Amino acid sequence: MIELNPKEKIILLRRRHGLILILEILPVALMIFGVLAALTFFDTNVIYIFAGGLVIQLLAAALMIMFTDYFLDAWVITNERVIHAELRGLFNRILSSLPHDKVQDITVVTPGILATFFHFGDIQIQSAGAVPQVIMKQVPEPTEVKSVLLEAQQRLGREK
Amino acid sequence: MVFTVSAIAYFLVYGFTLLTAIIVVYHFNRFGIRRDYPGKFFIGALMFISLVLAVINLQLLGEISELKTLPWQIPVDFNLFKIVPFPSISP
Repeated sequence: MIELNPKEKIILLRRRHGLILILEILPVALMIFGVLAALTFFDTNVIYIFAGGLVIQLLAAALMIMFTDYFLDAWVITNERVIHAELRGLFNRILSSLPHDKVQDITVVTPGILATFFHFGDIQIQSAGAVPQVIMKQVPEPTEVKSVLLEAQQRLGREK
Repeated sequence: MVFTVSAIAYFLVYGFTLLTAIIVVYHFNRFGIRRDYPGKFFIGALMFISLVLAVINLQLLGEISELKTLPWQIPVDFNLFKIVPFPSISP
């Protein structure tokens, strides 16, 4: 779990747009349907059915990894900072955070037709100093997220 | 020979699946963020499907072990397909 400071509260939690997950799992789902269709429509023997079952099993395991990767990649905006949690593969986890008072510039990029029609895009949060920038990739409603970020930044400034 | 290869493939695939499932559950418990219930639901559903497939494939492995000659010479018709959505295999 992400550990928050005592007075820290989560304002917004964002993952990549659901369409991205659908586009990622679509080829695997099509392969599963392909194997099932081949087993259903062609007159085949027990060896092939067994092999088909194992292939479907491997694809199901791949789906498990994809779902885990999607749901455990997230950007959390709190009243103090932006936290980026990312799972790369199954054994490589990155957790970075950027305090609101270090943010210098927030850029919203909406790349391509899909992003325009389905309202998702990238948010580049440029920081001051040695802290690297945070890029929120393919998040839904990026302008709304940008507003939340700016509001949190202003509120933190007023409190200080 | 066919049975040996099939059995090795079965244990490799399900060993990999079991390992993946354990790692995935560990990750969700250790690094889970709020509102990841849909993810847990999908993973649970996939694990259930995997369990059903493991049982079906084990039955198929049993059928393979009973084959006495090359598999493509054997017309197979067994009762398993009465409970799963595959058409029955006729000789």
